[in-house]
Amino acid sequence: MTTPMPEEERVPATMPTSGENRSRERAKLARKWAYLVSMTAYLPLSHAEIERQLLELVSDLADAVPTEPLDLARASGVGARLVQMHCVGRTSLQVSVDVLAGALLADPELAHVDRMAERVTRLVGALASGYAEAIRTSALRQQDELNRALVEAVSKGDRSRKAGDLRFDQVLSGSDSGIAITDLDGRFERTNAAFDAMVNRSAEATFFDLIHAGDRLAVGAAYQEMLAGKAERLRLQPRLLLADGEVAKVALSASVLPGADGRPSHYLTIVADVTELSLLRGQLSHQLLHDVLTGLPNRQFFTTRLEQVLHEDGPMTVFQLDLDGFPMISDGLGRTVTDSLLRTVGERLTAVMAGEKAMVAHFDGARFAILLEGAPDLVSTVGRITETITRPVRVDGRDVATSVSIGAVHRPERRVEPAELLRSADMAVRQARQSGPGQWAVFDPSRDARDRATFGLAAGMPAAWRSGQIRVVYQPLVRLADRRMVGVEPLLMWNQPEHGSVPHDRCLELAERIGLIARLGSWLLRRAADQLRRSGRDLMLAVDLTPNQSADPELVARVLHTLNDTGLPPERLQLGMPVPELLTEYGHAAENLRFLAEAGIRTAIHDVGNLAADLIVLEELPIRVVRLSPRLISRAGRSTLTAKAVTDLAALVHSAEATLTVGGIHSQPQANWWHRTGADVATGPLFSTGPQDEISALSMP
Amino acid sequence: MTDHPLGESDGIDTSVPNIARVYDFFLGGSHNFPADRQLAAMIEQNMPHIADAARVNRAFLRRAVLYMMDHGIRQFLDIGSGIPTVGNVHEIAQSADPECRVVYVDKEPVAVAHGRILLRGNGKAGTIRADIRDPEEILGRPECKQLLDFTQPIGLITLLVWHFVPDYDDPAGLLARYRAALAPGSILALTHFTLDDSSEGLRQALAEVNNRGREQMFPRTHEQVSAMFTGFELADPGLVVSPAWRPQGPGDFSDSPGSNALSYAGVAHVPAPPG
Repeated sequence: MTTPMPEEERVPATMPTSGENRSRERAKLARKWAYLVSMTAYLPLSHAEIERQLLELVSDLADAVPTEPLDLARASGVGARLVQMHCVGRTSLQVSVDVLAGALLADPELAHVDRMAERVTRLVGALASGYAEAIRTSALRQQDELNRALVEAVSKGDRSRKAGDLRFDQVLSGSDSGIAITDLDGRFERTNAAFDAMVNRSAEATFFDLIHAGDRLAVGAAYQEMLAGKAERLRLQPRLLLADGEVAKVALSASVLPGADGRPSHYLTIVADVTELSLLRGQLSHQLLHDVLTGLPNRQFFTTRLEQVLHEDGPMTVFQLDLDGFPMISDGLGRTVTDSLLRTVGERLTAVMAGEKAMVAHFDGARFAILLEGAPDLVSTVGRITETITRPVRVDGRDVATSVSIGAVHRPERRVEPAELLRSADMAVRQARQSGPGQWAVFDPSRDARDRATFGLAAGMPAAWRSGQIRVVYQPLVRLADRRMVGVEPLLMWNQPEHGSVPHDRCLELAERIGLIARLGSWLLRRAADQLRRSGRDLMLAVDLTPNQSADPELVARVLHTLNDTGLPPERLQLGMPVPELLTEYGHAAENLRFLAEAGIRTAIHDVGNLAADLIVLEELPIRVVRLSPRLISRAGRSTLTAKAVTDLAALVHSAEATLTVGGIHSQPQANWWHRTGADVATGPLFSTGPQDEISALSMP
Repeated sequence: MTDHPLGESDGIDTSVPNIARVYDFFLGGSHNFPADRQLAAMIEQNMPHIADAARVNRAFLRRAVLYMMDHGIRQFLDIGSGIPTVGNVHEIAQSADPECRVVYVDKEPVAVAHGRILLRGNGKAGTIRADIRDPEEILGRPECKQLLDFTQPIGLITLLVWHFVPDYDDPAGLLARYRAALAPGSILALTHFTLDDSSEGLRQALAEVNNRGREQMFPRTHEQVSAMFTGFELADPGLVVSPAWRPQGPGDFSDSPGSNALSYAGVAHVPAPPG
């Protein structure tokens, strides 16, 4: 037997993505970026032009990811271009970093690049430092212009120099740049308060005495050249002797002031405020790694740290926390309240984790994450988090109460990628949420014996998959009208050495719990599609997805790739989603289903018939196939009430132009009963001699 | 009464915040002093989306200038221009047609000196210091006469400036005087600060700003601003909140409804005289 090595895991890079697809993805990213960034600053360009320029920057940055050595200069150039475009709003950089890092980290084309997360983080870092440098230069230039305008405004209005002296003090006292007017030998005539605070100006010292000895000659020579008319204005970065005895490199600009006779009589020197500008720089690098609102590490910082910790060898837990009902809070109470709420939550989480080796991060919106190293008790940690969050927050004179859904990944596998781990945590949150607000889902093996068994089984699953213990088998789908085989359903089968064979449903449940389902599920689909196409048989491939698969934002892309790669036409694929997942307000399931239907795939729902609300899904979504809930099927033959309900349901399904499928059919009378009741297609032991390894081995008994 | 004509350096006091520089700060500029930034921070506490409102107003300027150019206008008079920084009239107009001529008018001396520095070497744009309440003074200034040809249509731009003019000075009457000097086919663009859709908190913030800054602000209602267009022909869609005036991209809006409703915008044509 061949080893069913999961293709996607081994060589994800072989997924062929055409150049066309790539440029479409990049254009999409540029569009999103343009949309978001143009809300952060006034960009004096048409929107089309903004998109065009940002698309260039996207390509620059994406192309830099695989370069060796890493082309940091290119990324830094991207940062400078952003400033040129005037993306200088307070959150312009933050928005750009979020959009770019998010997209690059999730880019399937870059997934194969070695230590991708680290590369992306370094590139984004270079982008931010290029941005910081450009904005610093621009701020300096603007401050310089402003001070010059000030001096000009004063000297224009007051022809007499004595009066000018007095006004000079008044006018320039509000500037935080040091401004000095000296004679041509550097002797001070006027200085403003900021200049006096910056340096120790004694009566006899000239301006040039305040320049560090190493730079003094060069600065003097430059002033002389300017005086000789070789330059209208100087821009220098000499070292200056500061009042506190320190030496600092400053940004200095100088020009010549004409006297009453129009000939040069004075120098005007402006020194930018050193402390503020260096602060600016520090803040920018802080901004790169931190969320502006809460001051906590952001997703990039968190991901990098996670990658480091995964390479070390200690126990760790990753929590993801989502505040419940957040859209309602922000719609109802406004941004100011929401912002304070998020800040308070951030502060409280930091306080709860104060004694631990932990990093608390704010990702976006209502989403926080904690990376906890070491092995503190999980249950009590979650308890402390829940307790601190549910305490009402007093904002603006009112109490705002919230709860939190928590997902945890405990002692994850060391070889897992940070992105994969975060996705597992995300899935855990969604699982928690399915039981209502304020719940938590945690994959902790030690909670009780039953969990431990499950967890042990689940923990072994990735290895079992790689070693070929898990395989794909097939059972037929049969049309009840003529008992002809119309489709196949691929199933997982795990021959577990200790527990014996683990059936399909249990495999899915376990994979779902450990976050393996996305990869395992798409492997199943790929193998089955490939085998069906190769068998040459004109059958439908029917696959039922789990809740997490259904809600996976990348589901559609995965499915379309698979069809593209295997050559199976979309109309031969039937994908089913559990109806409860389509009824929930969270997740992407309904959206995914619409996309799949648009792509020509037969969309199905399963687990139907437990709730009257199931009919909403049938009415609102493009559903072609309905699979009844096994519970309903097993009761239908025994209870007249259920039988009546099922008959009505079948009529409804047909009136919605969908077909009805039933499973678990054991006997001819059962098959006949269902046919009379209105079921169209059935599966079950009656129709095969058990699941087969090969589609070609399936035949009607 | 006001004390114009203004001397070039009257009223420079960098320890008192200046609205033009506060506006520059909200647009992400560094043409501002600590006192300006302090006032900006104070305003922002009461109006968290004020920077958005500044951006939305600036975006309207761009659309208005391009609209004027579409209607053949090649000369512009921008009164209350503030600091002519990024994306100002001459940048927008001259990048579309280098022959465009622009005169900026502001009464704040530092903004004017600043404009002169930024426009050095640009022979087709100039800055003068004057008050919007003196139409004849502005229109008679040599810089204005040299750069602009009043026998041809002119784009008259007055953005976020009329709220500094009290009813006492009769804004509508002033606009009529400007209109009389403009050739038929000239176009007026105007935005006006309003609190029609704002909360009590904002009204309090305004009171605070009126106390701190040197200038009082007079927000006006839709009806009052409409009346200022008497004698002009409003172009579609009429007088609307600024982002709603022919928006073209997401940058023209704010995602906070409050910021979108802080100013009205209208663009209007000077009709040919009857008969």
